[in-house]
Amino acid sequence: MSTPKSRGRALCIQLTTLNFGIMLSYWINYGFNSIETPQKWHWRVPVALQLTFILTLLLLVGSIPESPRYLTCHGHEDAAKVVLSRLVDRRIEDPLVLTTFVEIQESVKQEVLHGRGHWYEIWQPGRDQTRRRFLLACGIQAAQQLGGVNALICKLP
Amino acid sequence: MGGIVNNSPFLDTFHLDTKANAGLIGTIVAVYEIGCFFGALTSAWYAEILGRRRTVVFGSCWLLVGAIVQASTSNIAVLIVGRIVSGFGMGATNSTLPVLQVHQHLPARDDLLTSSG
Repeated sequence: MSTPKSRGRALCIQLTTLNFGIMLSYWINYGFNSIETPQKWHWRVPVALQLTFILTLLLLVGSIPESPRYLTCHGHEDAAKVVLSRLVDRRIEDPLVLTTFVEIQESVKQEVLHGRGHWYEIWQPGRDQTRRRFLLACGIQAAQQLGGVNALICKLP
Repeated sequence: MGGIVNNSPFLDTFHLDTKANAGLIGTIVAVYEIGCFFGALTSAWYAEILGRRRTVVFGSCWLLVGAIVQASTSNIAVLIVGRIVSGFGMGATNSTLPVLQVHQHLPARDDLLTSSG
């Protein structure tokens, strides 16, 4: 279970590991460029090494539970409670589990009541300022790429 | 890919030249993002059917196939297809895993934690 504080940390860990991965891949590429093989196959090794992370992900995803929100949305209320109790490490009857479950259930009910939403709503200004949020999110991503940092990351080494 | 495509072992395998085939090499690198684009957009549809967890497994399988194809081919067309497949898997996993993480990060409830104990 995360507090707002630890959520920020979780986000930062994700970015740190991302950049660590980029660094790792460049050192591996560098290492394999300095060796010579007669059939010129050694560029394949760094490409194939990503398999270790994919296989690790496939193994680990078996141990993480399904999203309790998704389960509640699709009528698997009991399964959602089991997941919640696992996440907070308490029994299913625990008030913490039940209140969290009721909160999720309420928000799902609200969604059903007001309709699931349509794709065109992304472009509506409206009360929730959806268009503004959407453009902001896209704008940040676009600016990040147009800043040219990826070209530097790709071509500099 | 950035550290690989401009070096002689890769270029010799595919009979490429950095000057003459600059556009093609750029395409080989960039086509991955096209795959990501479609993987991320379509995941909105099948993540609802499969569930978040199985979408990650589904995306990982695409990643697995893409990686094997890329590492084993000596044909440019196959390499490009491999990168699209990899990109599709990356788009699917990368847009679904954060959702799964957020849903498992339950809001803090210090009041309950302290009062029920």
